[in-house]
Amino acid sequence: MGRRSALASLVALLTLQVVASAHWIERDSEAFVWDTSEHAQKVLRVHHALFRTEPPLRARLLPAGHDERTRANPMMARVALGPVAGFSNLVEATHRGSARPSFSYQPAGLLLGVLGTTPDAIALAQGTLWFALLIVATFLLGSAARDRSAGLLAAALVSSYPIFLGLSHIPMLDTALATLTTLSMAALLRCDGLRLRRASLALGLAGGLAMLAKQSAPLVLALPILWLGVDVMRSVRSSEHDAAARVRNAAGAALVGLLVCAPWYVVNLSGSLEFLFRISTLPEHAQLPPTLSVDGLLFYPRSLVRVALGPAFTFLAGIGCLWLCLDRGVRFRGPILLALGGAALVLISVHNKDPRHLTPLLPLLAVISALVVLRIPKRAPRQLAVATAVVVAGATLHASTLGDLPVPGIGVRSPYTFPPRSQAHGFEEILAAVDRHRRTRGGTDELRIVEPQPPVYAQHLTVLTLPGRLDRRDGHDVDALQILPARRRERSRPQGLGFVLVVGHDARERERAKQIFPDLDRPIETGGGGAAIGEARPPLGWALYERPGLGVVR
Amino acid sequence: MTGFRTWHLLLVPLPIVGWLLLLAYLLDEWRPPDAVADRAATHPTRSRRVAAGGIDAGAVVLVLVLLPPSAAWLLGAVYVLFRDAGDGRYSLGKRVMKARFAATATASFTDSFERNLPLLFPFAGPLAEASLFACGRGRLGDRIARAR
Repeated sequence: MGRRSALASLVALLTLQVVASAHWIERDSEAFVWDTSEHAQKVLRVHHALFRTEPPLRARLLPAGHDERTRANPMMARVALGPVAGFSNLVEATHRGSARPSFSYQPAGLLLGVLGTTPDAIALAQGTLWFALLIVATFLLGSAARDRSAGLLAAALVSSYPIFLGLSHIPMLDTALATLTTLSMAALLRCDGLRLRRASLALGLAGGLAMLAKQSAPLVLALPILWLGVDVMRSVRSSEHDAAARVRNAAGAALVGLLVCAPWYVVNLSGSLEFLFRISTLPEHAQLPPTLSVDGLLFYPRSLVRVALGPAFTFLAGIGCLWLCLDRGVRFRGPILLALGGAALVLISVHNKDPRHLTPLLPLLAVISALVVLRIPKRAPRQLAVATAVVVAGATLHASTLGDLPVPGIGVRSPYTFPPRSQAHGFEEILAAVDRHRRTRGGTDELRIVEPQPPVYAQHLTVLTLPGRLDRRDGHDVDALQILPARRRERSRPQGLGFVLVVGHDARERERAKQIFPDLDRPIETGGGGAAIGEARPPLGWALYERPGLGVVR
Repeated sequence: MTGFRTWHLLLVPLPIVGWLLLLAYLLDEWRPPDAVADRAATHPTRSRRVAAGGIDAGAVVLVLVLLPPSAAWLLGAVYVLFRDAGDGRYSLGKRVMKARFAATATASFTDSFERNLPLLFPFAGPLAEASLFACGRGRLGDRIARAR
């Protein structure tokens, strides 16, 4: 396949997927929940940091009146404070939060400057953008493994994997991680065992960025890179003519990787380790099957069929893996098998299980599937297989995210993949009620939201939507951080007056709010759309973060 | 990487600055080979150097006025750090004043990064460099880059 026709096909595929994703997001009106809302919040924080007109420290330390005066003379303020403001805002955007690195939020944070800060824009900027980049990365990996035809077929397959289709509609980190590990693998295959200098540096760059997407990047990359290192050491021992160049390239790649990711890890290592330990010991994990039970061992194979790929693509990937294991003549068999095998071994042996953890492996499975299809020796059956794969990809795209499931075995329904949902949330009513309350009672110190059961509204995103709109109305650049979402694990007592926004219909919700805040003794103001606002001083150790089945945790 | 020096490892943990050093390495790596060759160095007069620096500073101030601080800082830092690369071909001031960074080594992006690194420290960096220059002593950046 020629370069131009491959590029044209790739652009057509990207356009189709981005338009389909944007169409889905536009039709869906469900609020973000759980991790999704948290990531949406982080995208907004990065956006605020990147586009803020003053340094965060100054905004926190100086009185509000001072801010007003400098705003009245923005040019002088910008020139005088520009160097400090710009640097501190950039550091805040790139180093914020010790739980997860913030690199994958930065493209979305920038894009929000163009798209605006609506929930749809956040989903598009974080979910769809990384999905498009994943398609390109898979194309590069397939091209590195065989040729552009393999790259294009692998890109078509990965773009219709149900889990990626679902993740393209919401702001999460997993697609970003899969993209950057795929790019790293592509550079690893391209660098010819660290003989090619630029490809080696690209490997360091992509590997460092993958580490900045999520701490689990080594899951896929560790063994292939170790294998590469061992091969370089072997060449040094046997005094091969290019051994010195390979060592130099390895050192260069390591330095590049270090320069990319070390700043974040140096600052956030302890917090990051604490976070990883905390999520590995969450009580919810007690519901997961034991690691060495049949259910535990079959968790990920079942997840491939039911959540990640669907039956048809799992079958194809299974055939591909079998072929790769048996045929020793396949180019790059070693690193691909090491990446897959090492990651699979770790995933199976870890108790904390989630189908999303499979995402860095899926582009590799797409490439293997493409390779096995293109390996068919006779032309007619090969073209038939390619056509079938493309038709199944299209059917999966339609069945999983847009319409019903017309063909058994194609498409899946899962917590990640479903048709768009439409509900009337009455956000405008809630906003109007909050607005009224702010006008009469002054500023907002904290805003807490109680969700009705079953949860309909996502507390975090609602919280974030409010300050954004209020800021625009008042002409202020109030940091969203001022208003914190309630977290179950929150230990510190919130200071100041708390506001409770009860999203519900009637007195029952008010009663729930009263149960949560025993000292909620003021009358609750009810908005037209069922929004109600009360105020209370939150008791020590309170929390409002709810999950279905767990109830309110105090 | 040809521009690597051991003291660069001190910059690894620094936020943003380490990334700019990485950018210098990568730009050097992807430079066309003919641009690396060192040409005969010229020694511009002090007044020309001052005028060229003033024009560069004016460009940075303009960026600070027009763009949000983050974007302005990033663009300004990239401009200031790499303006001497390729014998100053990326510096507006040097182009206008026909002055050029006189390097003892090749004027690579890493050399330019080292030479202008002190200017990255807000207020103190430019002030110290201007004071040293006014006193007739070599700029700190020139000493770091082993250039004059």
